[in-house]
Amino acid sequence: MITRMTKYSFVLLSEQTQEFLQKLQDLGMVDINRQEKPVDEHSKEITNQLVRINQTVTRLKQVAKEKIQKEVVPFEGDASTLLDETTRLFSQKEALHNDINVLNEQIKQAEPWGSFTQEDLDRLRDMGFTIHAYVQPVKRLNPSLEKDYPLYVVNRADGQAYFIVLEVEGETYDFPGNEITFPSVSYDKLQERLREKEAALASCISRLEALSDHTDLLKDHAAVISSHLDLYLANASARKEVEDHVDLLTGFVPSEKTKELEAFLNSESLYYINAPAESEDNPPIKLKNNWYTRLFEPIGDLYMLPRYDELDLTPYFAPFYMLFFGFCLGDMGYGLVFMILGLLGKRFLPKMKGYLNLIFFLGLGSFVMAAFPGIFFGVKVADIIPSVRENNTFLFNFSDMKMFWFAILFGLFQIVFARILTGIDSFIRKGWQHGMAPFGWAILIVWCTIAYASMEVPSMALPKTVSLTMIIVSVALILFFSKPEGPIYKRLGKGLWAMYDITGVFGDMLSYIRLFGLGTAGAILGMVFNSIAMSLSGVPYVGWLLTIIMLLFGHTLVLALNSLGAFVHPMRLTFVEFYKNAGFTGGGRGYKPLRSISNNKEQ
Amino acid sequence: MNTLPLILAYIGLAFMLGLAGIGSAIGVTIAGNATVGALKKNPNIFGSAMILSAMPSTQGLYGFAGFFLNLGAVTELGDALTLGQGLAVFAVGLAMGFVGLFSAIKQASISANGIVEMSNGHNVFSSTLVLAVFPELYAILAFASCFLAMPS
Repeated sequence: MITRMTKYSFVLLSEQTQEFLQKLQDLGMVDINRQEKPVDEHSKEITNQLVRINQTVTRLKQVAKEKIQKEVVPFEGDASTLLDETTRLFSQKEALHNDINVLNEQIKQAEPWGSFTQEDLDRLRDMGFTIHAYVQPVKRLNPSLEKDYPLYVVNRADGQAYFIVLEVEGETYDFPGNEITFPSVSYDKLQERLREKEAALASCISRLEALSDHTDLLKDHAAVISSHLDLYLANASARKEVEDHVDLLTGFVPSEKTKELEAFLNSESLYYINAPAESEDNPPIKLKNNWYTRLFEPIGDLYMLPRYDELDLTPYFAPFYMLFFGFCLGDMGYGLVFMILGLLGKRFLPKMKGYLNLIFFLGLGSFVMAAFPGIFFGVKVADIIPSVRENNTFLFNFSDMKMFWFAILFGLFQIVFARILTGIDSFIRKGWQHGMAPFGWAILIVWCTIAYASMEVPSMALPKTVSLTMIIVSVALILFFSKPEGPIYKRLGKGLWAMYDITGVFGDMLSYIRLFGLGTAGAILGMVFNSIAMSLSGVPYVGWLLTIIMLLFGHTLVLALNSLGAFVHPMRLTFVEFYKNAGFTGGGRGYKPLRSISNNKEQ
Repeated sequence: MNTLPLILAYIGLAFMLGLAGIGSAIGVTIAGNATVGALKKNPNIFGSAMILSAMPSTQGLYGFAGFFLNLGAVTELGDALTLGQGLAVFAVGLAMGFVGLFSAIKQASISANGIVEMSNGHNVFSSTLVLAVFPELYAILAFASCFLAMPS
């Protein structure tokens, strides 16, 4: 259900606006119309700062994950100091990593040339020698060169000869070979530098690890900045009138909170008017559902919120989603696992109570739906309890073919339900004419279903008069009420065009086969792992151990894969098939009242 | 002994299992590669990207489930398998194989695009999830046809 909103228009003197908005923020219930993106340089700056803090928190969390030292080191400074120090340390860490990489490369190149000092090189230069360095395979180094040139082999390593040739000042230098650069710093000097850098890096990481325990300080700081930005954007969104002396603000409040708000407004010196919000005002959407439906709101949020003048479909898709999930998971055992996880999880993770309750109900749906074919951890209940098969009980005995038709019928039921829902809603909100076409569709789909079923099971055939009435009424409703306004020929034209939607209904119906497909595929995989596990039991001594390991591994794998499909496919059936047939357009914006840090924490 | 129906059926089973499996293998690789690239830009999306990467894995499972169902039926009938039944298994085997192959690859391209956009900071996880299951429907229909054409 969508909470009714009341629209408030405030007229304030410009100098009052800031203070008034601050008070509204403390009150935490008015959604002031405002931009959500930066509007000027100042708001851009605040947004960038928020991004910087969030990035730093993420990087610090990564450091916290990898750190070995668990001891908490206190931090004395404030959030800004922490942010600056962390940013500096991350830059320093990156620079040190780069330096170490460069040094490692230099060390690799300098290693064959051994130790020397700058003084050694300077002395040679003072004596009138210039050093030229070469590397050649040892085999190709002609020994006669050593006689012809002032050549000194410095090192022989890995089949390469590292040698220098001295160029004597004033003499022609004509040594044949490709010269390489002689290292400017010696190997041991580079090693020393590397050790220094590594020590600096270790100290930098150690400090970052110490700071990683204080991300809450940054998060609180981000909340303060975010609240400030919200206030700034609300202020900036005020419409300026009377040469910027007067500000006009518009906001929305849940109608049940108007008394509380007006008690505050009447104590302020300002002029305001209020009226029930209309869909043209684009009021924010706040859903208000019972505890069961609320569990499914996060699933609905993955798509989009309804518009203000639309029906919130969450209460209507929730039971379907639960059962569709169960249909797709297709195993009572897996359902049981979900139920136990949901129940036990609440004890250990009380903060996740909502999600764990959802898991419990999805498990319940799986337990119920998988009871039709009677699959328990890949085993057919009827195969292990003969009386179930002998007594031909309703549950545990659905064949694959029955499940196939069950999936289609379940889908048709949801489509008809969606059409009736739209009919009733349009009837109430827009007038009786608007509700007629969906009812026509619902009757036509029911008639088509029974007509097809009666071809297979003649006893299901409807009496001729009933059948004829259903066709005439449904077609007439669709033809004349698909466009309830305008001249009759336009209405008829629109009605004829609307009849084409029958192909859409057929496509939607086929889409529900996925329920059968996923459920059956999952059950077969479970069965396959069972038979592999049982075949392992024959292995001498460790057979049963291998069986247990295979059962655990196999069913965990199937459960994980099936859960993904069972989560996503019912979501598609909800957002595409159900929403389409229920005439959902969506696009509403969420209710985001101006809130200060204190009332944000209370929420 | 008339072996032609059995030969046809087993070739069909090979297509069913092989092509659908190849499709899933290619699909998860495409999406997985996109995830690896995306993680360089934004390491925080691993959870969502992994879910999207796993999407094209189901076609291989449908191929396997179809294979399992039909193998049981073909083995049970043995020499009693008629030419029509053998041809039917061959036909649905081809259908399941090719639909599985292409739907997995196409599904992977949707997932990969979603993953790349997520790494660019766009919140497209849920819409990618919904869109990515569109091509999978046809693999499910092919699987259902394997079930409907199963010899009995």
